[in-house]
Amino acid sequence: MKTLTAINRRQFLSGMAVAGAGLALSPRDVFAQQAPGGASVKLTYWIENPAAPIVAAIKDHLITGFEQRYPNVKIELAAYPGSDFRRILPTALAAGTGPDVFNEFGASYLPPAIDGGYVLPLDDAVRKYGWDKKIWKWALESGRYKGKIYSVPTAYESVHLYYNRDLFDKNGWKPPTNWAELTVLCKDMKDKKLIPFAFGVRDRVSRWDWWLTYTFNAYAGNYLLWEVLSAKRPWTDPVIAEAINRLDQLWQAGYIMDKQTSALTHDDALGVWSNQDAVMLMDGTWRLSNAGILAKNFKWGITKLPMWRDGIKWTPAIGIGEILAINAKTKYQEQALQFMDRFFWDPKELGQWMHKVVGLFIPPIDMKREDFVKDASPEFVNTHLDLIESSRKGDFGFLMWTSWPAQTSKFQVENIDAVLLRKMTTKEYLEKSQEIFTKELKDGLVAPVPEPAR
Amino acid sequence: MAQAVPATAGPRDLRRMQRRLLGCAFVAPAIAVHLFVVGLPALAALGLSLTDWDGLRLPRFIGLANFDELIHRDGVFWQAFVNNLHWTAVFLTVPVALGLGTAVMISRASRLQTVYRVVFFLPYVFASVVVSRIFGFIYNPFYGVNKLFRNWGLGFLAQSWLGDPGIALYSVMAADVWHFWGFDMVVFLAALQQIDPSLYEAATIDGAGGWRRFRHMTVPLLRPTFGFILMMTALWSFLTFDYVYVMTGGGPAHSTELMATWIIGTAVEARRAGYASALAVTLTLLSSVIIVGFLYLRRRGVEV
Repeated sequence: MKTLTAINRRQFLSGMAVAGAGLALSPRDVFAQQAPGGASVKLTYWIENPAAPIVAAIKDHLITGFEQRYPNVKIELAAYPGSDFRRILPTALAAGTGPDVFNEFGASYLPPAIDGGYVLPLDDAVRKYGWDKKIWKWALESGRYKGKIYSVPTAYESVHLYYNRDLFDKNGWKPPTNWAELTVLCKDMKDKKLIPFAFGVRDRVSRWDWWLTYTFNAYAGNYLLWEVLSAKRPWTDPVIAEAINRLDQLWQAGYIMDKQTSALTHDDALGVWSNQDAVMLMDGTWRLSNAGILAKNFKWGITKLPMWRDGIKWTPAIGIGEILAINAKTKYQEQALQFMDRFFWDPKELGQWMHKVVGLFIPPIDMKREDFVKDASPEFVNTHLDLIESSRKGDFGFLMWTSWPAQTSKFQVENIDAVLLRKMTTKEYLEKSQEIFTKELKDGLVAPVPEPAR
Repeated sequence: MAQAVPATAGPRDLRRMQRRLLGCAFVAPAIAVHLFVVGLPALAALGLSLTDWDGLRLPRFIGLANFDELIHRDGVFWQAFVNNLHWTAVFLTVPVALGLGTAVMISRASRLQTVYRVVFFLPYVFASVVVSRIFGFIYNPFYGVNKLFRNWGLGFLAQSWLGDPGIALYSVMAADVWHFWGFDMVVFLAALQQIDPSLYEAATIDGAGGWRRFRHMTVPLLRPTFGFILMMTALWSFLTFDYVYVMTGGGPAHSTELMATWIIGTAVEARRAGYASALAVTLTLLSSVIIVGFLYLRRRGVEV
């Protein structure tokens, strides 16, 4: 029988050398990647928002809660600015160094990664974890591509009217409810040397998607817009053309940032609103995170945006602003799915802290007023309860960054300033939109959008 | 009968071969690195320009379709090309004139020459992103230079510096010129200091005035410096990216778009890596025209 003493000195030393080299070269990996048998697993999770309060809240609540339930799994969080994220994530996925779990801005950004084989299909997990019973159907379906679900929605959002309540009260103004009221109000503000809407795109021209979202929904209405997005009507439809003309009217009159939208960043524009030189913002629900900080010297309010065409009732353009997906190459599928499930555990528990991560995490699940913690602002709670109700009834419009195919959206946001600056006609703009949309439709890149209630 | 070949090389030949091999050995690492970090990616870009690669899916060969789109349907690319030509024209004249004029004046200064040199060169050491941000504040239509103009009763001078497509490109150029011209000044100053002062003394004794000395002595003697500055400026102008990217993102309405910003936007934002490669190949070809032009001039005996 061979005994340990049978190992000679050379074998022993070489064995120790190999073991030592292994430990020295990659000590963390050796200990972190022992998944089976209860040893700890390290999951990497990437988000596209490096704001310190958001990162802290994600760590304190989302990750800590998960690690307490699954002590053998450690989450390593990496937070990148959105502009870097666009560049880094695809490169990392293609290089095989991508995260195990990652956020994205919306499902429309995923198809290239899905087709490249970098995203894990989730259909089995949807059933196993019961996400189909928790997540709003249309929101969950927005993650479907070529018949399979590849992402789950983790934040819904909309656009609203933020306004300076002090200036409104002082001047006897009321929030506008239709086109006529809006234009009269804007003119009055201009006459008083105030800028009606603060808005800037100098740092990111694609921010025009906020105003285009509002424009299309406000004039076309949600149902007609659904028909356009579903290829049942062309982009050259006269109603869509008139929607663009209305936006043009607002811009030419100087109601939107005094026609200086391209000369200012949106942070500059927010500064103008903060200094009370501008009265209103047409901004997203994510602005609830810092509207109070910006409005430090005045009371502010949030309300529904006015519709622009008679007979069009207000429906909030709701869309998915953040999704979660799993790297198909991850070694720890089960743990990644468990982490994904963390986002939908219990509405009451989520309601305790999700107001701290506005813009990154507001899962599209049914929540009641009593689910929200008391220190969440009334504006936050009321706005989201309204959106939950609209979603339940099917009274929703469409956000550009969620429901538009990528290239059509890119063309429209990058060229609307050409229309406003008379470098392109509305007709040319819509014809080119239709041409790109038709190509995307032919290439199977137009995702179905949920039909709203009539 | 065939001539006999010497069986062994002489000692001189061996030494020559040894020297050549030694030279090759010294250059080999640099060539290897260059091939790895420049040659291979360049070849890859050439190959990718013939595909519809989006960075993640498998690339599909589409022949010259990207170049067809670029030439016939991509109006933004040609606008960017024209903007690059404007940019080049301005940078071949304004900073060169400023740099040369200032260098001549400083070279004649008997005191504080180093101080002038440092002061005028200082903007060049600032990071372009910092300069872009500073000029972004200056151009702010509400709180920037416009406010000063209005306070001084010169409101008619207030402009939408970055918002008006007619002037936005020149506004961005102004920021870059402010940053860059000190470099030209230092290069010209260094060249001026190489000119033998006795030449000027002789010319002065012969009755040449200041202008004639400048025109018939300084300018011809600076010809190699002009050649270097003009060639580098032309190349850098075609590769300009940072100022536009930070200050305007190419807007409004692509009026400040340059070829480099359009390439990045196409590759990253639009995720069309194949098409962006075609744009990059075209940019390389257009830049090569400048190099070839300078090589041609050199072969014709022009000292550049």
